[in-house]
Amino acid sequence: MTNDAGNFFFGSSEIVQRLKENSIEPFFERFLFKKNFAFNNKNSLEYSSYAFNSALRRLTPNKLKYILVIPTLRCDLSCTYCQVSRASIKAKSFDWCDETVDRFIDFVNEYADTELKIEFQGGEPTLRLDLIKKIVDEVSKIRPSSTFIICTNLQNYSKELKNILHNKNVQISTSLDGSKKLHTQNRTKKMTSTEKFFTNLREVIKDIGHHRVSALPTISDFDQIMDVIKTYHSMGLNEVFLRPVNYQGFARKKHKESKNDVEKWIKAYCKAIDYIIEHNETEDQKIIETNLAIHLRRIFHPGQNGYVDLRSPNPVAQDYLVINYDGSFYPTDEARMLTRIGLIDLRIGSIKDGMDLEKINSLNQAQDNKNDKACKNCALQPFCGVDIIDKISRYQTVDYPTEKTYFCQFHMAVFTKIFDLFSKGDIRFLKTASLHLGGTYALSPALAGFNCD
Amino acid sequence: MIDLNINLDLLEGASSPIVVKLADLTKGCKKKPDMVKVRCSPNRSIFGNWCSGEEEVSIGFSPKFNIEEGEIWLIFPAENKAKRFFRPSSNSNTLLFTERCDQKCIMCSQPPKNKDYLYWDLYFSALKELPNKTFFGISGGEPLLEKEQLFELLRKVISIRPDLKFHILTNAQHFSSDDISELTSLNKNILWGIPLYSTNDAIHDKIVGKKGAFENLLGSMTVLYQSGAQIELRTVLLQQNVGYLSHIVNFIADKMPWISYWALMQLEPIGFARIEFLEKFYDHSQNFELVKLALDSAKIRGVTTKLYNFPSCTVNKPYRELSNKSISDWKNKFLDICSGCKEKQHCSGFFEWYNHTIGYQNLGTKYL
Ligand code: SF4
Ligand code: SF4
Repeated sequence: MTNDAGNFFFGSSEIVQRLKENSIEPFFERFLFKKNFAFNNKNSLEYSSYAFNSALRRLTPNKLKYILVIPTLRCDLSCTYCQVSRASIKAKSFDWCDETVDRFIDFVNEYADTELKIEFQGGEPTLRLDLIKKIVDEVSKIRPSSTFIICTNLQNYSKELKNILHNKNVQISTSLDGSKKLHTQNRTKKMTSTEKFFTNLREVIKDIGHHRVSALPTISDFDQIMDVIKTYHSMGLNEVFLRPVNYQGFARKKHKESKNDVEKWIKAYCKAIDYIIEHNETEDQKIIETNLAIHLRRIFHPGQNGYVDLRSPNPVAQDYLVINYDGSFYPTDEARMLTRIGLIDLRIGSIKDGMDLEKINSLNQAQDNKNDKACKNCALQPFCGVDIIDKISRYQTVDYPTEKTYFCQFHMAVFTKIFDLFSKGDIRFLKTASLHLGGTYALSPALAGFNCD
Repeated sequence: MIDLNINLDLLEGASSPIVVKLADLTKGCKKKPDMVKVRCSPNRSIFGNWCSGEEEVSIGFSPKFNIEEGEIWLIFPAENKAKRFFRPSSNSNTLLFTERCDQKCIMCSQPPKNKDYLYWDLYFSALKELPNKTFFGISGGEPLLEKEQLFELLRKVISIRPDLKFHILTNAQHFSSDDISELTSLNKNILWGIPLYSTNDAIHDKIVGKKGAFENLLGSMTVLYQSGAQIELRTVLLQQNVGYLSHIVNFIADKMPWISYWALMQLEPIGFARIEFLEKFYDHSQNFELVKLALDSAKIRGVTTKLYNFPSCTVNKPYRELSNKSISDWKNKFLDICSGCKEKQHCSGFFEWYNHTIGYQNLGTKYL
């Protein structure tokens, strides 16, 4: 049982019956008060808390906090599932020009929050370290607490890159698909390149520390998921974000996704979570899985609405924006690719002409699960999210029934798994959950008392 | 407010209290007021000049005397007394206008007395003079015992000085729904510091020495929520409540998720706290487990937390970032073992009246 504020408890069907019939015993009534499901009047702490958290869960930041910048679309690798439909390394006019940089600084000055994060994506952004350096330097002057993430394939760990990393606000993010064999197969094609990547990864971790390096796998062979986790663990990377391959851009046309794939992924993912729970119980070096952390935070931290892949409402171009190599704006990276393959035009303005407010407003009307037929009747609604761009991308229409989408099925599966483990009071899970919510690996009284019986 | 140990020798026969703001005459003073001689004991003199009446009054001082430019004093000529109202470099400028209180907390650092200092006009004149964006404390006693007058003072000051912010310590026994509209207009400029010692009404009531206090407190919290108040919820760590800390965190997350933050405070060893001190003081340096459990709970539930008066070396490393330099400068000290400690600039240190023989067992740089 959940409410809009995200309070929840577990009870038998008998309890639901009693609620329906309004035959509530004193013990049950006290429990309902404790959980903010019942209140005497609006001048009560129960109602205040309920009203506050219900509103907080729907509050989104109103200034730009995250900008994904694509200084160049060119790349020196050609990964099988390249999400961006890259340009070849020698191609012309796939880079930001000087004017775009100047405009970008003005744009940040005008619209960005004080806590700003800029992610450099590509292509391979390190082909334009000159642009990155200039942006980092200039933005740091006007938004001193900004942080920067450079997403690189780490084929080159150059002196220039090292120089930029002297700035402690700059982090590295890279792709690591698992074992060397797998990584070669998916990405580099040549073992020598893979070796180079692993050497560079180790070196950069040594230079700037684990806390400033993150790696993300893209999982195409679901049977390999344990190997991925093991590789991460052996590299000393404590956090892993398990994501299935998401064929986008031109690749989507080649790989049609089937219902089967979603089920297979959910199964593989749940198995992986069980493995991590087990691992954390027995090993000293604990593992955090990002998806699990995001879902747990959505349950326990009302107001954690900065993650655009899982929130509702999910207004576009409000706190998150993608700026392409040509200076045009997109709501997400996926929207950029949908536009590039000509499926739909989701460009929402440009650094030169500003935001296309009309288009943004029309997109935003659908970016709310309050109005969705399926979500309205779903107990997970307060924790879950909405993503119409993903819907368009996968099903070519916003009218596709939500309950049949990958989005719904995956998130429902993860939330269900989490709630299932809470209701059973699985001790090892409770410790891993504490860890994922920012606590230590230990049982906590904060994760108890969910059952009404 | 601190009583200044000086003898005032006013040349003009002023009798009603005045506010003076110290200005460094060596830097040149534009005004040409009457001279006044203020003699401080022993053997030191400061010279000042002042204009009488409501307006600005300033005193010049000899740089040898340990006072700062911009200090604000209240001078009571009839009693030949002066109080320091504000000192620019201090981290805790506080107004105390009553020492009365309707609670009697077992660890009160400033036990209630039947004494008032109700100079509302004077305070208004003094507050007007504060520098831009000052964060100014109001404490007691229980300031809300003078609710009408206090609200009026705040209303007047905030209307002309919206840049000021007040930190008001109150036991939250005196708010009612009639206050909501007044509070709503003031609350942007106030952080209320409110003590909650347990989630068990009997234990809370026993600690604060007042029956029904817990229930009153919760009623007030609803009023404060409805008026958009910013709250610092304060819990003093005691042997009497150390077992309830996690409950308090969960209670906050469940019932008052809207507060600004929770402050867990180590005991200030003075006042009532000194009576049967060893039955009250909980030495977390010997056993951090229960505190850790509460801090973990706070992380898990998303409750922002600060530790006050916890010396850095007594706090387990992952939680050290929660500790604050919380002790007012004028009563803050460090020990011999602190010399050369790298943490010192971030460390709360100790209260002036900390007695190490009955204090923390595990202290010093080796615990960092
Ligand atoms: S799980 Fe599915 S139905 Fe439920 S809120 Fe999420 S998207 Fe909507
Ligand atoms: S040794 Fe002193 S200064 Fe250093 S952390 Fe401990 S109490 Fe603080």
